[in-house]
Amino acid sequence: MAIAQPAGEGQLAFADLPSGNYPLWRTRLLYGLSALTLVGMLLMLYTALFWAGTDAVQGHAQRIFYIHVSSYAGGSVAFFVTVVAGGLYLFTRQMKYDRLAVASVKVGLPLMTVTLVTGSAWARPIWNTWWTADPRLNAMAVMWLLYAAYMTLRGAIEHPDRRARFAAVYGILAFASVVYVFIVPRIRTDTLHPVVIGPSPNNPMANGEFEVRTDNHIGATMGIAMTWWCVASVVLLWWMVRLENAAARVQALKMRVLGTE
Amino acid sequence: MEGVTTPSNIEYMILGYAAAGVIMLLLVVSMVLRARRMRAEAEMLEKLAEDDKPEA
Repeated sequence: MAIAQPAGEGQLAFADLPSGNYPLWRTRLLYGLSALTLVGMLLMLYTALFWAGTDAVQGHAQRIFYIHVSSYAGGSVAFFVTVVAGGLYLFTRQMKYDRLAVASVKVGLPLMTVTLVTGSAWARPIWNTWWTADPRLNAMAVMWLLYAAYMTLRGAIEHPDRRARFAAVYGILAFASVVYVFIVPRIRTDTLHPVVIGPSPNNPMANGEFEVRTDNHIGATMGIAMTWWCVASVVLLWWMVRLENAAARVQALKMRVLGTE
Repeated sequence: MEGVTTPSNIEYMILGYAAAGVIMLLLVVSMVLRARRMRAEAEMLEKLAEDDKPEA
């Protein structure tokens, strides 16, 4: 027979959990946004694959940048939510913020995986290698590992309050790696990685590697892709929070059935 | 652009988009499956809790 921990500080209290009966307008909004995201995906794919012109130097491989850069933006939105949720948890000690934090990492990590994988698919034809020891690439790999470790380490702490406190602090500190990934090609000259938006030390006069604001629909396509991935990140996060709430409710129900609440 | 030969590398573009699609699909499918499992577990536990209630 399973032995459940006795309820203590920070233990899941059944009465404090969301019932799962959310207001109808909120559920309708979530469904509406989800449908809009699906339609938006088609628009994003059409602009990225057909509407934007082909880059003269890089060919079709350049189109990977529309999802490579913008999935990073979407992942950053999710990881920023981890920071805010972590801060709110430390301030209020309410478990709903811990659930928001873990949900945001569960969404942000796959988005950053998209960034890593698509970057590799772009690097092969352009740099003639899938991966190289470049400061930007290394920083990205470290960032990905930090958030993967977040999930692993969370699972290693049993006490809910201690786990939430640890995760909040870790989530706030780990965001430094997201910022570093963004700024590294903007401050270092020893990186091969192009800066897609804005000037860089290697290309100070440019508006970005592909002259995103002026050239052949590239700027508009990048804007559409960025918007789509950020909205998709928020919609996925919303669903993920509901899942985390349901998981917490199931956990609390288990405790109640076992008579340990 | 004059003097530039645009490379033919569409297969890498397809690879990148396909990989992104697979990752996103896995995320969504895993969420749907988890939601189903949660619902089934919650229903079973609620039934168990009902059965355990002392009769009035």
